[in-house]
Formats: sequence, structure tokens, C-alpha cells
Amino acid sequence: MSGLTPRARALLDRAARGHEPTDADRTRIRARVARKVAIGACAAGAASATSKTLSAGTGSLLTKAVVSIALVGTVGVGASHWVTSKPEPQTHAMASAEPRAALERPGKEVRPKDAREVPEVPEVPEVPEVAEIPAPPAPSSSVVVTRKLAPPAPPPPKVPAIEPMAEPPVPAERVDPLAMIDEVDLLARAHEALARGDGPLALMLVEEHGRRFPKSAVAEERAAVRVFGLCASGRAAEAVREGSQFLEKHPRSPLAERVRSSCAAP
Amino acid sequence: MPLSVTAPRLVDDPSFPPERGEPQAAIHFDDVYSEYFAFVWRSARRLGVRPSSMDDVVQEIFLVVHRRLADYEHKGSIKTWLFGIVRRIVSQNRRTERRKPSHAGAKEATDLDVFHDPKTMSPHASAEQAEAMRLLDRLLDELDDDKREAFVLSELEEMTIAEISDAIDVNPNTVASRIRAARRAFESALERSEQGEAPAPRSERRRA
Repeated sequence: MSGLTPRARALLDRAARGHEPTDADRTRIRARVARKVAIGACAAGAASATSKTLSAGTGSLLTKAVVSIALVGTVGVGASHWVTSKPEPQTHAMASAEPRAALERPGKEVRPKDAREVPEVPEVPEVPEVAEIPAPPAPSSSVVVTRKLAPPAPPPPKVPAIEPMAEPPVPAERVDPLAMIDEVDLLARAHEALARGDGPLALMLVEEHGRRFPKSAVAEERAAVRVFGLCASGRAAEAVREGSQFLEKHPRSPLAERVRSSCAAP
Repeated sequence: MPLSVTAPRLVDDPSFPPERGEPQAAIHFDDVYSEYFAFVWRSARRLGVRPSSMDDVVQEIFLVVHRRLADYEHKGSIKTWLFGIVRRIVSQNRRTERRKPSHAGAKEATDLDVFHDPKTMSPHASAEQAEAMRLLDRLLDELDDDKREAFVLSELEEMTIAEISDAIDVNPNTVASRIRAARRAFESALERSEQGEAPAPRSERRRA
């Protein structure tokens, strides 16, 4: 048997196009993946982000970040669930949304051997296959973060039986770790991503920040971080445009000088 | 292998994806996503993921890709590596779906709801394509998992036997054997469908 009959081939040709994703599918899934990765990045960096930002951050952010230290313990409890249930995600490029040109090697579509022309070889017994992709060992940093974030709780005090029962704790699976991270912390993580040179992640975190805190007290810093994130992502034209908007809107900002000295310099 | 966002983007590199034995370069998630999203989406759909589960399944696939891209060893093409992840996540999804009550999915979106785009397709053409997709889905459902993936990769993705062998990690003779068996089963199922017959029982499908 050398191939499919024409009617079967016609059916495949007619139906196959319907399985193609739409642009909306592509954008929607990208946003979902980005959000999940952002959650993971926030959780993994919960222990270290604040201290690093304190040293690297700006003056106004510095003040606000100090306040956030008190929240780190709370954040850590929620975040530790994510860290322990998911391997530590890498923080590679996620935020740029420009369509890319085809990556395939030119001429790659020329098939050396068409699978439709299956050679008539004897039937061979199928052997059990081992197709599972071996999971890489859990990064040790995840374990460290988990321990830092969620120290063993002391044994609960004895409660007299007549006292009313406390509300049962919400299962950790229902808690969105991002929801427990306040606006300053989230921006601190964007700063940390910038410090690592991970512009796309910084942009993603800033975007999440804008979505969750549209009228944030740190909106000015957020706008500046976005400019720096665009620079770090190689999106200079957008950085210049948004940098100009920033300087126009916040000419006396303590961040104005940094914006002027970045790739966004007009 | 840490992934660096500052490395030159592979989109500008005409040698991407690298052939076996060539120097390895950092691979960016963004590039993989842009280039292979459609392949992943189609593959998941054709391996039997319901339309209502597609978002969850494809998201999970790309989260796994994101976590494991650093472990990609350039031993095969990115495409076949991706398919290995797709088939594993799809398999998990199908096991989960089978455990659900039979009424689950009763409100599944129809194909017409899913892809009809009045800008690109007339209602009549759209209805025809929807009908063809329903029939194709039904016929693919009649294949067992091994034949289905061999059939999808060969007849719909037009991959070579060597590529399929890489993607599903079985030897080329077995791949050829599965493709032939899948074609026979598919043709039989199509014939039965055209004659208005019910799908073959599961035991018969395995023998096909």
C-alpha cells in the first residue's frame, strides 16, 4: 500500500486547515503562559528580590520597598506552595510580542524521503517504547527558596475544646501567589529582572503590575522601569517614545536622569 | 545551559535550527513559541484534545517547554523534541478526560463556533469544512493512540519517517509499520462512515 486513496486525501486536505490556530489563540495562550511564568518568577525571587532592590532601587522605591519587607513573610507562605509544586522556571524572553520571521532553514521543507511513500518492509513487532521525557532534577535553588520562604511553623498552641473553631484555612492550591504580592514587591521583582538583564521579564512584570494596580502609588517608577525594560529588550524605538512621554509627564522625577541616560535618550 | 536574553536572536540566524553536530546556540523561548505555536496547537488538536481543553493543554505544553528548553540537547530537531512533550501532555489530558463523567463536555463548542471566520470563508464553505473536521476527528478517534500519532505526523504534518522516528522514539521500521496500519484503519473507517455504519468496536480497531 503506497498511500491514501484520493477520497481520504481530499478529506484530509479539506479538514486540516480547520485545525490551524487563530491569532487570538496565539495571543491568548502567550498571555496565559507569561502570567504563569511571572507567578513562578515572583515566587522564586520572593526571598531575595526585596533586599537586592533596596540596594539597587531608586530613592522613592527604596522607601516603599522597606515597607514591603514586612510583607515578605506573608508572600513567602503563598509563594512557597508554587515553588514546591513547580520546578523553578527559567526567566528567558517572554514579553516581546513581535511576530518573528520563519526560523526554518531555507529549503528544509524539501523532504529527503516522503513518509507517504512507506517502503514495504515486513511488519515488525512493536517494542515497548520509553518516550517519557526524563524530568530534570529539581533545581537546588528552589529548595533553598522554599526553606527561606516557609520556615517550619511552631506547633499550634493548645486550644480549649469549648472555644469556637477557627475558619478552616484556604487550601494553598486556591491561592494565586501573585494576588499576595503587593504593588511594591511586584515592581521590586521587575527591578530585579532588570538587574539580571532580563528585560522581557521586567516588561512582563510591569505589565502585570499595570493590570493589577492601574492607579498605583508607584506608577511613576513603573513607567520608568518599563522604559528600562524596553531598552534591555532591544526595543529602542519604543523606549525612546515612552521615555519622551515619561520625561514630559515627570520632568522632575528622580528617575528622569536615568531615563535620559538610557537608550531612551531623546 | 542558562538561557540568555541578550544573546543574538536566532531569528536572525539562518542556520537555525542547528543540524546535528553543529555548534549549539542559545534558543529563545520567544522564537520557539513564534515558530512552533501552530504546530503544537494542531498536533494537540489532532491527537484528540477537545476544543474546550485546548487552552489548558497548550499552555501546559509551553510551560514545560519553558522549563526544559535549557535541557534541549540539539540531538534532534526542535520540532520532534516538542512533539515528545505534546504527546505526553496530551496523553495525560486524555487520561483525565476519560475519568470524567460521560456527560462532561456536552456543551462542547461546535467546530463552527470555533473557527468560522466570515471574513475569510463563506458560510457554506465554513459548514463544509466543519463537517469535514467532524468526520476527520471521528475517524482519528477510531485509531489507537500509536497509529493516530503516526498517521497525524505522516499524513497531516508530512514529516519523514526519520523525523517521526525521532519524535516518538521508536525505530523507523516500526514507524513505517504503524503508518501502513493506520492508513488501512483510516480507509476502513472512512468507508464505514460513508456507508452509514457505526464505528468499529475498540477490539477490532486494535487489530486493524
